[in-house]
Amino acid sequence: MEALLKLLSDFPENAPFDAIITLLIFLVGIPALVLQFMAPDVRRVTMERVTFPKEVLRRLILAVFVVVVFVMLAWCLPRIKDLTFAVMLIVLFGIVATTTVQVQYRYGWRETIINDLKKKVISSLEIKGRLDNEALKRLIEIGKQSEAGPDREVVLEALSGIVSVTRTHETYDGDALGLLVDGLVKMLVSQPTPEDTPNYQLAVSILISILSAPNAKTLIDQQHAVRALSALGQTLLTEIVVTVGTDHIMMDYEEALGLAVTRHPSMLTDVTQSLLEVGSVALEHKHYLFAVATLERLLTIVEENTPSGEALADLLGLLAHFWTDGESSREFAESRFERVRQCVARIGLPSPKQVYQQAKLHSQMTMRFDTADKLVQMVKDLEGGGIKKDRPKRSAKKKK
Amino acid sequence: MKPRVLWIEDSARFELNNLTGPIYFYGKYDFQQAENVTSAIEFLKVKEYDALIVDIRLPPGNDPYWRELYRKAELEGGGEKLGIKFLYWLLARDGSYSHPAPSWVRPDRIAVFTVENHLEVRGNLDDLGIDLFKQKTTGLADTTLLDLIKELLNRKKSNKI
Repeated sequence: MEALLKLLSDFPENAPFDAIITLLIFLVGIPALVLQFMAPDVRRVTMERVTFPKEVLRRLILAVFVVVVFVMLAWCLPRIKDLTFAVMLIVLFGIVATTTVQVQYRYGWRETIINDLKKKVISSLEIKGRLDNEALKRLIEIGKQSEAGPDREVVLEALSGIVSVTRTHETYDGDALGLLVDGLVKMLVSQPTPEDTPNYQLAVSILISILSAPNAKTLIDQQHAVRALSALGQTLLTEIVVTVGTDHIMMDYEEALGLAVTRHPSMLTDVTQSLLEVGSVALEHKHYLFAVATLERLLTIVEENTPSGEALADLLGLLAHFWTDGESSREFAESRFERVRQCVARIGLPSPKQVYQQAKLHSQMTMRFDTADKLVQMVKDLEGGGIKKDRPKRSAKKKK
Repeated sequence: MKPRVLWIEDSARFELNNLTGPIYFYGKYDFQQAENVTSAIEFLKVKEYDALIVDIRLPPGNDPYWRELYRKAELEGGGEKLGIKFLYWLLARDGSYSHPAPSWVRPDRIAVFTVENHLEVRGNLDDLGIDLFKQKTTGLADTTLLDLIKELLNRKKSNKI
């Protein structure tokens, strides 16, 4: 006790107290500043896990431990007190410097955090044969909370990297990326803005990558991808102004759907449904290039694959949308009638009328009442003689 | 009274029109959908169902017991099959959850509709006595779910005779 009192009475005089306190303040203050200046989306996700505060606390404890040890050393070896305190300050300074650099590097740059999460997701695949879903969820959360545009693009690039590795991994069988695909859709659909338009292009390239995965046996991810194409395509058409310069992004969606059925013919009806969905929305919003490309794609798919009642129903449904849209759209629909007639003949039902009845029922059952109504209208018009073109007026017979 | 059907399925958001559309369209059943285990249990507490269609891949919902079970299963690599554990509880084969399973539940009222193939879950289903299974694949017909419900109800009827 006396020794301790003596030490304490000696301590203020010889120990570099001011320097110790200053360094400890820096040790806590710099991470606090980094946290303060962190991007809000990253800060929210970083603070959900307590790693960051734990790391700072660990270093603070280490620094305090160093102070205690060196003070005890100085007390035991009073002759080299000054040297001891000098070494203590150097060590403390080292702790503060490394903390500053490491915290700044690991948490100060958004890209670094995103990259770290991506590496974590992928390394889990290498070690355990499956993705780290917790890290993936955090990455997706950052993406959802990011500003639209370049900030979100960084997250999408990370997701693209994850897909690239996963789809060619030896353990991949078509059932590992559902969470990623759902997250991708939520990221872009929850707050659609024009700034995100280039990200829709990146999204479709990610989905194409999934659709063309070489060893997909179960096709679960591929189904998710087809649905995602429909959801994202519709959002792009309805919520984001699509200018002439961005039509090519929409065309990517149509091509991706075509790719899906080429690679996986069993996905025929999933793809035809998606094409009907995006095609009808495109027509409604007067994106005629995309609408026509979609109808053409749908027709080609039905022609080239095993006859399917539902696929044909989707084709007839989209055709009906064209029929009832306007004069030019109707003429375009008419130009495809012969090809459609051949598809109808292949289906093996006794009469075309039955085919149309089935198509109408399919639309009604899948809650596409608008499509069903348009089908009814188209059939009525066709039964009534097709387009009522302007006929030469008969001269009125004069009454005698 | 219309037969009561509960579909416990979390990822139907993209398939709602296709699979549930026909059910609502024909209006033959009192149809309900639960998206996670917690919600399903809440429904099961208050109503008796004639048919239960269960997915194997179920999220836990808010109940701490099921969340913890899901978390542990995820760490072991089988988190996506919480539906199996749910079925064991449902058929009173696992009493570790605080609420008892409804007494009216029997294997002949349950069908499993999931992405897993039958081989992956056969052992558990055989153990539970559930023999009606349908795998979710690509290109499902519109009436897939409707047909499954019909088949389940017919089996239940023929078991009663």
